[in-house]
Amino acid sequence: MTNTAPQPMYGGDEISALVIDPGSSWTRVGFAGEDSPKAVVPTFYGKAGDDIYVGDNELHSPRSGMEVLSPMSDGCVTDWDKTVKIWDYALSKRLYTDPKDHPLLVTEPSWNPAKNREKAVEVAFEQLGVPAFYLAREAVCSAFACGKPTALVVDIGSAVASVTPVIDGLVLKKATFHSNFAGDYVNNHLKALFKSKNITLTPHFMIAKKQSVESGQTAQATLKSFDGLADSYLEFERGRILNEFKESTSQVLDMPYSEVVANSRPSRPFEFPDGYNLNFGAERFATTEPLFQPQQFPLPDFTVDNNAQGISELINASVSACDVDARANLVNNVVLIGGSSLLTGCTERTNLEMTQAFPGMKIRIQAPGNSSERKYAGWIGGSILASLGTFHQMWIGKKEYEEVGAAIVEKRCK
Amino acid sequence: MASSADVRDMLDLPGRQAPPSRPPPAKRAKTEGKKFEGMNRELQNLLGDNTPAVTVMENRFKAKPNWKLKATPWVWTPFKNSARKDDLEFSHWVRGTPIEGEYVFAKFNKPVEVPTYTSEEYDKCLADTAWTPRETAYLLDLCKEYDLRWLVIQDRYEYEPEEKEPPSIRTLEDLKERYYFCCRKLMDLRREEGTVEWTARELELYNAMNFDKEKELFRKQYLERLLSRSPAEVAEEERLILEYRKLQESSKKLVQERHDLLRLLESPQTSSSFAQFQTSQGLSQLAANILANDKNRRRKTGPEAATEAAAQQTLQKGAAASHGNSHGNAQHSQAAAAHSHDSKSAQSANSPATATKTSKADLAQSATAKRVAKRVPPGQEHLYGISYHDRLTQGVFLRSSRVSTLKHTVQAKVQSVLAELAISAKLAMPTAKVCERYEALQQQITVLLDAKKQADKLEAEVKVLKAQKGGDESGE
Repeated sequence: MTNTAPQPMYGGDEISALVIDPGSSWTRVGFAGEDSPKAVVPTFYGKAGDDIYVGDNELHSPRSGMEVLSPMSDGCVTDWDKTVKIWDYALSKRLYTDPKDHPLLVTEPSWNPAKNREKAVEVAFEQLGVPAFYLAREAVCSAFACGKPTALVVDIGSAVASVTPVIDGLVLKKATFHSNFAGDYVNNHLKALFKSKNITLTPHFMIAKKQSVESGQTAQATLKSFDGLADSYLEFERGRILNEFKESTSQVLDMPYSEVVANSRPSRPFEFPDGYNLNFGAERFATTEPLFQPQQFPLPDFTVDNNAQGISELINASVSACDVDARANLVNNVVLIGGSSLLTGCTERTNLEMTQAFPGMKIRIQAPGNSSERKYAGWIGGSILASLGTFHQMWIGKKEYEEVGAAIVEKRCK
Repeated sequence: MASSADVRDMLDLPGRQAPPSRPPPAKRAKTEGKKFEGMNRELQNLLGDNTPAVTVMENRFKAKPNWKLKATPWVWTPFKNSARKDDLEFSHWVRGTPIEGEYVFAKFNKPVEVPTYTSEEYDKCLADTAWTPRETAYLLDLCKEYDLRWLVIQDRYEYEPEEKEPPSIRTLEDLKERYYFCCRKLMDLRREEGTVEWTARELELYNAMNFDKEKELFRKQYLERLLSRSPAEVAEEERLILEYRKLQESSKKLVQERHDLLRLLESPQTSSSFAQFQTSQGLSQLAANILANDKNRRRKTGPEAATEAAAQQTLQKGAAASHGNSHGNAQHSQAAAAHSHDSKSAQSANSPATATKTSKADLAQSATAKRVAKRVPPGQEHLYGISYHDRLTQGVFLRSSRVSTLKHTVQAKVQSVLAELAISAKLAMPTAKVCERYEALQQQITVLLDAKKQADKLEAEVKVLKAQKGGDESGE
């Protein structure tokens, strides 16, 4: 029999840890050491009276009076009870595992307030009963997922777009900037667009039967009828159509926006769940433009204040907030991730904006080509981190937590 | 089936071994047959004793598993990490029986060394009006916590001053200055106390920690300016760099050309051996050669034939060498110089050697010259009609025939210049002095012509560039 100790050169040592990456719309859950999360569940819960529903199936079933709500705000977990329910569902129903047997690594945004971090530790040890816990910065994990210890992480998610400089695996908090002009904001624009075109969004679950119609003709669909559906639920279901539109039809113009150029691009048809279909031309580009220029492209009944920062402004602000010595290195190691960054042309546009903003520096953007690596970058980085041999000294042990209390998180998870 | 023996038989070659002693090779063939599987037996036999030219790789996907061996189990083993302060236990899979001992990754836990001090030490050498002891301690703590990653330290620096303290706004340079100041002072103190022995490493460290805040600020200012150039400036700079490269390239070419020209004006050094002329026989042969050479030259109008010139060159070199031998080293170059005029074309192709200029001073050092110089006051040789000759030819000759001729093309140009100066091509009174001056003049005219050619070329280049620039500006 041979004895083989873990190889220090390879650097990995699996201790079968769990990794949770809670995002604004999806929570990624899986085992450390794997290359993608085992389960991806929506970060929403249904509330009907005292009953709480979590998980894809429960959430999308039409129930009368069920509100669909989010336990997150501004990218941070705020409603811990519901979050625990979602995590519990993912771990027990999807991973068939018990958190009591596994160390747990959870990611958090860089702007997570100290109180919230302490709460996370408390929840992990008291409610989930994990033997060890760690709270990792999402940006750091994303940089690790792209194989970089030093990077400027540009994360365009659903609710929040953020730019975080990471130096040697540590976040520069004072140079981190985030805004709400991300995927959901594009959805709002799409909703306004459909409203202006008098298109009613009928969610998938309401369609009983539909017939194909010519482009622009009124839909001919038989609808199912439901009673007492809450508005938030309908919004949630309509959001799926908007996401679908965004993913298949929307595009970011790969040059500074101008109406003429947008009009000159070929149009693309989109069929709504009820069979109604239409060609979309310049709107495909105009609705994603607020990601880069929020002031110039406000919502119809909404003014954007002057301090609002689009992606390029966030990047500029973040880079200028860093020390001069770090700038060239950061700009040369830009990591572009997040689901909304998958919009066609987003990478090219970001590159263009950065080239204009920093003409004297060499800019290199690394955006993973694989869409799941883009969407789950934070989780993948967490998975790498939690399976490193050298990382195992960083975990907060249960005993340590009992001795020091939740404040240990500030000391350990820098 | 044809074996090598058959072939030998057919070609009537003697067999290697007698037939009775055959069995062993047959056996060997069998073992070899086992070696190269996947080859036809007939084909293999054709090879005979030769090694096969083609290696036959058999398609083996996998090594055959050893079913009889018992599988090594993986064991879920708890372990403790000595890099941790608590004794938290994790478990991992270990193949075979787990080994007791230190966790392999614990050795990577390397904290950075940050100096510590007592309050007395602080009062003695670290006191500073801008820093309180508490803030200094806070800074050193941060340095330790973030392993001296200054960017991070500055980012996390959130010192809350006590009531009496002034609010602290620290730049990165402030922090660095304070830290390195503390380190150096403490090192000084320890050395004075004699508790720490200073090695070369410590001295190096001490010098490395000499932090100059002003310089650092200057550097950063420059860097900031460099990074905040506008696109137009960057483009301009790139254009200038390109132009600079072009200029550099052309100046290199110019230097090369000038160098070539200068080399043309200088005479070569002898390099071939003169051993063959040391005997009397060799010497007389040389004399005959020179004579023949002379005759040849007289017969020809000019040294057009390049091959001829090259042949002469080698001969002349030999001649020069022989003279050098009899008259001392100083005459080497002199001898070669005497022939340099009529072998110009050969020289440029032939001798990369750095030529030494010949002068009377060189000659004056020779033995005979010294003897003469004793009697004749220096500078008055011409008064006495004394002249030095490197080589004297037999017979009578016209001095004007000795005036060196140039290449046809060059000659024509020189002639025209001479006509301009109202000097006849045929000298009326070719005395030694006149001939010398005439040759010098000719030489200078050639140089002048060359220089003019260069100047014209450059002027044309300037004109073209100006035209280009004008075109660019009007284009913009």
